[in-house]
Amino acid sequence: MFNKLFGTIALSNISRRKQLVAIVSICIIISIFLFVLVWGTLDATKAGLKLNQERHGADVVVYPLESKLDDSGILYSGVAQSVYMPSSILDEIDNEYVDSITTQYFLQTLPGGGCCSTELELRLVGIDWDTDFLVKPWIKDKIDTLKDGEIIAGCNVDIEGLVSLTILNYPMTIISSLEPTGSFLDDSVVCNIGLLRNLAKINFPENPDPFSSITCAMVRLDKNASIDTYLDSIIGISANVISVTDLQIKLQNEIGMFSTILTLLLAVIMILCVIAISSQFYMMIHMRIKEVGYLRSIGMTRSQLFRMFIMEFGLIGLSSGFFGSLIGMALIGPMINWVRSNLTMPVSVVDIKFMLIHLLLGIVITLMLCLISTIIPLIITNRLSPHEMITKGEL
Amino acid sequence: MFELTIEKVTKQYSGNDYQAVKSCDMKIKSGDFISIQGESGSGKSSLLLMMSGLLPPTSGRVLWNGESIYDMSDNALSIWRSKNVGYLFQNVQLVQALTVRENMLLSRSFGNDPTLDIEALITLFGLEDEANKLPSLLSGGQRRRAMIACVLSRDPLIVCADEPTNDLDSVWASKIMAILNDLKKKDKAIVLVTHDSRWITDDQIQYVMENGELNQA
Ligand SMILES: Nc1ncnc2c1ncn2[C@@H]1O[C@H](COP(=O)(O)OP(=O)(O)OP(=O)(O)O)[C@@H](O)[C@H]1O
Ligand SMILES: [Mg+2]
Repeated sequence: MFNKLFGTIALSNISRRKQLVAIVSICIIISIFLFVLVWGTLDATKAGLKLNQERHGADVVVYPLESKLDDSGILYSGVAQSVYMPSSILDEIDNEYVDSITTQYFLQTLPGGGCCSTELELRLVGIDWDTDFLVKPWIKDKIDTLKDGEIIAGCNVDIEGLVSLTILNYPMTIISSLEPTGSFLDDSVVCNIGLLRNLAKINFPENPDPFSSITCAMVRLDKNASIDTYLDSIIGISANVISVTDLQIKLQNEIGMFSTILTLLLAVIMILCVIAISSQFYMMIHMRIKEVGYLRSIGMTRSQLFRMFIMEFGLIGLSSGFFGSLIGMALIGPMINWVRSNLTMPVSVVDIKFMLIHLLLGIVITLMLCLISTIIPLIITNRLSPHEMITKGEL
Repeated sequence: MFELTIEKVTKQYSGNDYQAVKSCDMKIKSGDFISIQGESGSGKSSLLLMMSGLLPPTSGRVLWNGESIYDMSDNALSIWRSKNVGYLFQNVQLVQALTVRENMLLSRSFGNDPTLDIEALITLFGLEDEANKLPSLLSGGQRRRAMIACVLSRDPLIVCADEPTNDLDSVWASKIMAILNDLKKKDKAIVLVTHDSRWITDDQIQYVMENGELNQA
């Protein structure tokens, strides 16, 4: 009975004070939206870097001087590029410190070029199956070899539901896909390097001879070799050299700094929001202070009073918090893509679980926000005796 | 059986340089009908509020069967109010968001008897047509009757009535006084504050208030 009547009171007061409710809702929607968006993006970036640190098989990446991308762009961005260096570079970088080297050859399909059965712009990554140690750990299915015409899709490549497709006029079959890597592989389609070179020769005759060029070389060092020694030993080669570990540490520091700044910013937003919402709630309580006094006079305890108001404010809070979280969720995807391509950070993939966790997080934060914003004005109000409440409300 | 004792109760509102209630003593037992008369501003409402647990006195004690109510925890005092005191405010108080019937149901849920017959009370107070209306749609007299019905829905041991006949026509005023009088038979106590001598009868314990001082008539 109690709760049903509380519910009636809550609903009736919400519908009677639409303007105030609207202001509070907008406050909550904006702050929760910001919270979910920023938090989600940070999480995705952190997870991406962690993933990358755990399983990035290469110690050193060598890529052409002409590449317009910087180091982290090469590793993480997935931005299309078709620059090459001569395979002879391999002789320069192979020495006693090296455990193994594998090469990759990239090719870009033309969007809407009529060459492919998908309109998507795909980055094709040709790998040398025999020497590869970079892609293999990420493949979902157990595969013994990668034949001509077989492709493996990166986790972000939107060719779901397709089994076979035509790329550069060549029929391809998707035989497996990659787990999220937090790197350019997420946006790539992997195939056999030999086939890709053939396709390059046919479709892009203006490119340098594909059979004597590579896009990048991944170097794995001997267990006992130090990266610095190796880097010293190949100084002066005509290619860019990235130390993956150094880059990861640099990024980790950057992300750490970002995350501190953003967390502080979020904290400030949350505090402002608590102040704004609790003063709105304070107003909503004080418009009814006479009624509160009456309810106290017939025996309502402070905790019952709290229950009554939390029902009302929780209803407002939850619905707007849910809405704010949803908007935040909807924008995390684009935000992450922006981070990946403009800030060139590794970013993990946003899946249903990630979405749900952050939706839930948004709702939990909303609940806390509402709880604090209800408790503060009620503590102030409860200092008055029932009679003081009534006289205050009458004058 | 119960006993409410008011012991040297004084009230000085903050900001005032005078005492609204000056060291008053009174005893209320089950079956009592007490009336307090006095001019406007003499402190009748203030005294009534203090004995009902709604306004802490500046000094003095209010004892319920020997226990000081203002020394109870806020929770205990709330529950004490809900079970023992029905306060009829000088100005009508109701929950605006609830209909008359819902107001009565809410009130009953705080009271002594969860099975009390609400419909009988609605009939008793002539509110059949108003029971499903919000208080804002009622006339002044109907609102006052609704408030009294709400208080009786809790079946309290003491009814503190501050000018209960305000807003009412003489027919309803007499009816309400008769209803209050009947409570005596159920071993309840009634404290009536009024400036209308029509409602003062010889079987009442009569008090007069003057400039904050309480004297038995
Ligand atoms: N909330 C308050 N703050 C300050 N002074 C108050 C307050 N309530 C009452 N008073 C003062 O206390 C005195 C007694 O007031 P009270 O309301 O008890 O009188 P009353 O006898 O009930 O009068 P009435 O018959 O007009 O209702 C008055 O002088 C009034 O000005
Ligand atoms: Mg009065």
